[in-house]
Amino acid sequence: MRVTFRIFIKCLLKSGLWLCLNLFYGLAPILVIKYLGSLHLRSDSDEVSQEEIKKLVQECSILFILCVVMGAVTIDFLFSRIKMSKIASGLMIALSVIPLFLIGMPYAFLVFDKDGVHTFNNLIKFQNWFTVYCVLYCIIGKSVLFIKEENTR
Amino acid sequence: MTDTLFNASLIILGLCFLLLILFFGIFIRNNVKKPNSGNDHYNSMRRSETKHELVMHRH
Repeated sequence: MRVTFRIFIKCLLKSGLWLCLNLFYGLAPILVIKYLGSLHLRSDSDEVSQEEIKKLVQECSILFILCVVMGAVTIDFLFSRIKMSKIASGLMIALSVIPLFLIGMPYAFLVFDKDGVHTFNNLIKFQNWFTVYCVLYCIIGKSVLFIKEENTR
Repeated sequence: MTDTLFNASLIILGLCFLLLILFFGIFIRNNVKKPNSGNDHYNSMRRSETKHELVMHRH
C-alpha cells in the first residue's frame, strides 16, 4: 500500500521535528553556557562563554551528539516491526556504521599530530560535512520509519 | 599523507551520501503516490460510470 504525498510531507516534517527535539536535548549544555553568558553575571562572562563554546566546537563534541542521534535512528530501525527487505535494512544500518569508522581516522590524526594547524582545519571541514550527512540520515531514516508505520495502519 | 587520508574519508562520506539519497529515491518511488495522480475516488467512480454506460448501450 502506498501513502499519499500529503502524508509523506507530514512524515518528513515529523522527522525534522524529532531531530530538532533530540538536538535540543543533546545541545542543552551548550545552550546553558550561552544563556549563562548572556546573563552578564560578571563583566567577562560573555567572553568566557563564547570561549567555552568555541572550545567545545573545536574539540568536535558536536560529533559525539550527532553519533548518538544517528545511533538512535539505527536502533529504532533494528527494533521496529516494519516490513522491509533485507537489502534496505542492511543498507540503512551500513550507512550509519561506516561513518562511525570514518570519525576514528581524523581523530587519530588530531591525537598524534596535535599541533598541526592543517590537520585541525581538515578536522573542522570533516565535522561540517559529517553534520550535513548526519542530519540527512536522521531525517531520511526517521521518515522511512514513519511512512512504514503509516502503511501498516 | 594526512591530506590524502582526510580526502579519502570525505570521499567515502560522499559515497554514503549518494547511497542514502539513492535509497530514499527508490523508497519514495515504491511507497509514495504521485501528487497529481488525481482523486482516486473520483477516478474509480468515473470508471464505474463508464462501465455502466457501456452495459446500458449494449442493452
